[in-house]
Amino acid sequence: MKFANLSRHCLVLIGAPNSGKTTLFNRLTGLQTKAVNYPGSTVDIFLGAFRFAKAEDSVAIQVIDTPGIYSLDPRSPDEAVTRKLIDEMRSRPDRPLILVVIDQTQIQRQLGLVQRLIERGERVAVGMTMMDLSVKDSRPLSLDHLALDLGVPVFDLTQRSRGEPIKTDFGRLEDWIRQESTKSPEAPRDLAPSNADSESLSDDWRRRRFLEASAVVERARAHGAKLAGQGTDEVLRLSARERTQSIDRVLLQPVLGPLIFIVFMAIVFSSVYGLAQPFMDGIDFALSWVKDQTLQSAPTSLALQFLTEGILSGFAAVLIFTPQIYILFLCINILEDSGYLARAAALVDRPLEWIGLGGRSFVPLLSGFACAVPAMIAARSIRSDRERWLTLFILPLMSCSARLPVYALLLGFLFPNQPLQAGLALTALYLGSILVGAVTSLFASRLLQKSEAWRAKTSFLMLELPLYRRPNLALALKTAWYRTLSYVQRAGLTILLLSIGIWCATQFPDFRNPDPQAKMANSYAGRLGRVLTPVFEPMGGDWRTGVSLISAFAAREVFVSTLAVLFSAPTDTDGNAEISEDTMQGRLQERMREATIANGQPLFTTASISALLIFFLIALQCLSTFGVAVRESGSWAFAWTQLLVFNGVAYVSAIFVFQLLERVLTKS
Amino acid sequence: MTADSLIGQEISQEIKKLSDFLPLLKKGEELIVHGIAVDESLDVDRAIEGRLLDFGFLPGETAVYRGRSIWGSPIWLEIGETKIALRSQEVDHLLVRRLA
Repeated sequence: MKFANLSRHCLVLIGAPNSGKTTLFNRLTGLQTKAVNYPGSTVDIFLGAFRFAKAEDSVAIQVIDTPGIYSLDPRSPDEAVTRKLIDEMRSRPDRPLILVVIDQTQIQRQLGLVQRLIERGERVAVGMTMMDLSVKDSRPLSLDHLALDLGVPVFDLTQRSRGEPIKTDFGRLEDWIRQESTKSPEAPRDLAPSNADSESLSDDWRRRRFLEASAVVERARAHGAKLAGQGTDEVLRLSARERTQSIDRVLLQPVLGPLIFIVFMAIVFSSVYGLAQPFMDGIDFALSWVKDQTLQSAPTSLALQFLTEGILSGFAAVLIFTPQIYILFLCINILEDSGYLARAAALVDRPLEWIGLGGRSFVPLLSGFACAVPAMIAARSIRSDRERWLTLFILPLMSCSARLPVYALLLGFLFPNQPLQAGLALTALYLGSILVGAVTSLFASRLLQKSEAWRAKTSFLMLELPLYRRPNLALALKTAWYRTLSYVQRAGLTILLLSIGIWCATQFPDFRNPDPQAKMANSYAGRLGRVLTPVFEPMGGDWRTGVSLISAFAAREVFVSTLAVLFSAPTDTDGNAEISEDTMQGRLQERMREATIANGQPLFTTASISALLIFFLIALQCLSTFGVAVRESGSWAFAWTQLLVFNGVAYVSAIFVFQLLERVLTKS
Repeated sequence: MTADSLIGQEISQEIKKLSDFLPLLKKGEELIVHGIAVDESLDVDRAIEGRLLDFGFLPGETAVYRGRSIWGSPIWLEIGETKIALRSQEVDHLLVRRLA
């Protein structure tokens, strides 16, 4: 194991996807966790400290949550990491305790993993989840008999609702951990060559193993049936399986299913924007207040400007989108916990397959409408290399929330006091981003198809549809919070540094100039904008448009604040842009209407604004996304291709739109 | 239901790819898994076979057809106690018999 920060005693959680492993991890660690990259890969594993119920337990146990696996034969980068981790930890003097998490409703299929680990001589216990779904079963699973048969402890670790009468085995799990962590582990068994290499496992072996697992389960059920016959307390209620079938008759119905899917997605989408807005306004207000207080606390100086405009604005760029990201993750958690998300992925698999993607691409693409950074991280769950690559490639085309302030400003300019038209145009922009993404994916997948290496990459769905269950809201809230924090930690520093860099470029070398417009004009960014004027002219811009577009590489919404500075739209006494309120935005739009180019013609026209909208629709301007793309694809070439292709296409499209509209509108 | 428990029941002797049976199948119809048809020289086929085996598509097991999406693919199938969505190309590898 190459992690320097792993403690001596470890408890590794492994199990199939949807087995309840992460829920259990959160329960065991109290969500005091952190994500770390597995060395040499882009895959995360999660670390946390085991929380003993009794304070006197002083043994420090580190809990490790691993990516889901079906067997020890890895079929995706995520699965390969789990296998590597188990293999590497075997060589430690204190071999870890392994808790295999099994969804009892899938035990027959998931037990093979336990048997394999027992064979390898690992220190294994089984944590059974979803026992609350074991319903009015005439043949309930006897966990005691199962433990006896397997020769390892089996615990009922189902996360039950408050007030549930049935007791779980968390206390017994603690006892096992305490006992095992004080023992010296036996040396691992040497494996026969045929078993050492997972690739060499024969199908016969696999079949035998499945049948053995079936026999073990059968015996445990037979024993459970005997006990049930002797009067075990059973609650009469509708079988979870029957309930799932009833719900699926509606949600997977060929016509009704897709319609309900659209309604669910509309709710998610409107929640991400509608529910988040008051919180975003709150963050905006709080940061503006801090900025104002800081500015008033001392005489104006470069250091103060750096603090307020460079650092605080950088923080604002990071924090402003966290409500949207939180709500998106919350919706995803709830849908996932309820069992619907897997079905949603299956429902859209075919349309996505037509453009070279798959059902598993759906969640990352949906997340991309909030922010491409966490969306790219979410794409790790896609098992097919080709689908993952294509998903990563088109993700920056999804209209992320950072584009909204830009769209709001530009559409407000095009449709003053016409909210209906502006709303329709905004919808068209969102649909346009989906269309551009689909066409790009289709085109890229056709290109990949020509390569023999890529053609051979496996792409399959084979998606398990779990039983429906009531989502645990408290856990969903906590998990969404944790994921949002993880996003802030990952992307925050990059965005902050880039914001500071862009601020420096717009302030220096003429930083003493009291006139903000002149300062901007003489800045490095302004000079670059002038040099690039011939580049921006064909799309209807001038150097000011150029500077704003360059500054938007820190974060797209910086485009708006840069325009505000350049056109000295609402500013305070120190020239700091204040454009968060509607009235301020209205004033900026007025200034934009008054702005002219050298020949006295207006700078911003229907044609040039439309060109800017098209540019923002396609361009990849977010350098945080670029950084994450490098990491997630493991390739600089990939990220550079994305940057050059999208910005190139955006630029050409913007020129086309400007030139076309200019001619059409001039004639009319 | 395993092969042993099927003794005495009438089983169609016709073994076909599941995709060939699909137009005839009714929701809730049971199918007996015969095997998985793969071209061993193709990585894609071997990977699909491996995953099908992971999910428990073993000879003698009973799979229940639960319908399909509006697009025709994926289809919903139950194997053991697991409900699975399978794409058409995956369905194409499954050899099954129908219960007559």
